[in-house]
Amino acid sequence: MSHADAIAIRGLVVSYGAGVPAVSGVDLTLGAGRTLGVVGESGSGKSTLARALVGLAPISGGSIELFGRDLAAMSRAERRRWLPFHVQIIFQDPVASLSPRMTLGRALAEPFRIHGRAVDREAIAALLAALGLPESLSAKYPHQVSGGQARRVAIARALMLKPRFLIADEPTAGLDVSVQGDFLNFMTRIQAQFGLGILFISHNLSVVARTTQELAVLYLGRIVETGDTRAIFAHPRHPYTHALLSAAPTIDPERRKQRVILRGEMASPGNPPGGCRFHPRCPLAAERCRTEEPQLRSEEAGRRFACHFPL
Amino acid sequence: MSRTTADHDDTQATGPLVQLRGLDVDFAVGRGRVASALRRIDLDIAQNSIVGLVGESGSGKSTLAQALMGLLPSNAVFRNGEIRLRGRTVEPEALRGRSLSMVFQDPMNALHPVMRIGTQMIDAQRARFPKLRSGVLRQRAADMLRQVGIADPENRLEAYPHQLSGGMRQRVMIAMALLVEPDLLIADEPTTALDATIEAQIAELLRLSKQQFNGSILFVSHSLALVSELCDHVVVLYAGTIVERADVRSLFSHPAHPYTRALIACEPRHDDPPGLPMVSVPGDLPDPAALPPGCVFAPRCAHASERCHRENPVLAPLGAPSPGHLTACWHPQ
Repeated sequence: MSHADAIAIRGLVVSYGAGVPAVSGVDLTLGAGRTLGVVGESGSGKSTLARALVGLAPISGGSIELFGRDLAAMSRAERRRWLPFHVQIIFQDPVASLSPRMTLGRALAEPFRIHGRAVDREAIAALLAALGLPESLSAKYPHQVSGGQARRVAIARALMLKPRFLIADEPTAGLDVSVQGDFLNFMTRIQAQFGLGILFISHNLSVVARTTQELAVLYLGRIVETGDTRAIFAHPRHPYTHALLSAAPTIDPERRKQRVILRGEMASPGNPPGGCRFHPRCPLAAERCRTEEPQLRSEEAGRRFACHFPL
Repeated sequence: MSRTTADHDDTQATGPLVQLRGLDVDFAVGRGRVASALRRIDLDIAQNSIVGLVGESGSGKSTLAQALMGLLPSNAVFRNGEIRLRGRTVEPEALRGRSLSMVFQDPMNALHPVMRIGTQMIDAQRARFPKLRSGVLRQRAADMLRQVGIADPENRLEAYPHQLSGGMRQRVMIAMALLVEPDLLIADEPTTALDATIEAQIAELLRLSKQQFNGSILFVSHSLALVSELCDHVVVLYAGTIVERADVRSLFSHPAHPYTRALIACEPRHDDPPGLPMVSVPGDLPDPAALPPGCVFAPRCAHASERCHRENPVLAPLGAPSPGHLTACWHPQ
């Protein structure tokens, strides 16, 4: 078990109904206790990927192994017993997942109730203390605390069953920049403190750059580039990664000069273009890109990209 | 900005397009309580410039945009203040439609879901151009769609809003706003719901359209980075009051107010080493129904002195190197 990766995804295909897959042919592994950032535009399949990892999206092809267990091979009942104790997910605006009519203390006890366990008051108190949250929070309702604190409570609840892996889908969406840093420091701290693996979905690249060790860039349901976060930021190989990195607004005028503005928008995931899926927007696209879909390949350790003409 | 000197002089001669003076807006929040949304807002929007209005949620930036448009909610009280258009005092309602148009955060809420794009774009022009026939208005709509980068505009006019992507809907909104040839375009967080590559496209589009329609833009945003890229002037709002105001270069090279400095420090940068703790501003916005007696930022300010907790600083020029740079602080940095 200790040698198993936290996540091993092989050739994953996720289709909703008969349509074109939302995620197609994704290969990805992540060691235990590591943090992975997943970036991409809306429709790139990043949320679908996250949902598939916790059994909330259908696996139509390929496999997902979590800590050595094949997700598809588990029965529903087995999954229900096993998954919440290993992998938890928090969604965009985690505050919305707290019932406005339930005290935060009760919300924190929910995981025990749902899984038929005795509510462990001591565990709740210990976790709150470990997360640096005052115990007085327990008596309050969500509207009585700040947005940043409610988010921390939502995370505390996700950690209540001591999972080894946390999936966070845009956890900073809607947070003001003045408090965002505090929240991200909190995430970094709990990652180290609990040896927790984190999959961090975000469209905010600067945030991902700071908080993750590895990165996967998705475009129209496929990974176009993956590897060490720092290395990718320093030297993106895929033209899409490069455009995405350069598009982020910055207060640094030097960085602005390197801006690449893409033409057009991402094609509909229901009707992806042939060849390389990025070719209609790619400034470097050649004939080959229109006809032949590039596969993920590697020219250096710890980095893969899917491009015929890498940067 | 590639404005010529002649243009610049012309702007100086005609004075600012819009001036706000001493704007105070309150909200009735029930049980006779009153929350202060805006206090003593003085603001100039020069001809052919983009003014960025930055602040966090609750800072009053949307209220300011609404006050300008005469679109304040019914529990708001326009207590004091004057709005001038080209030097003449006007009622806010008078600006709407003719001199002023607005682009909202979520175009899906602003577009009618069961009307074709073309019909909506034609209707939007009727009040402004009552003498033009529908065919002409339709042609103008198609031309404008092309200008904002929408391919095949004739067919797009037949589409319903849900058939377009989010980025395309936002372009339609901008095209619609520009069709009435407004003097001032108010864009309230127009890129918040959009992806990074589309956000960059829309920012570029706004920059180009300012040059094309020769008007001004009030760009409301919570993103300092975006404002630093797009705007000529920046106004920083905190808890309903302007804490700093300057041209974009001066503001980012010499931020003077501790709040502005803190916000800039919070902005994560790509080249920061990973693992470096992120910066945040400790504390929360004050309760608008119970504001502190002195400077509104004092309770969160690392430089606050006794005076800051007692006396409210007014917006004043910093002096010599950048005369247009104003800040409301007893201890500017």
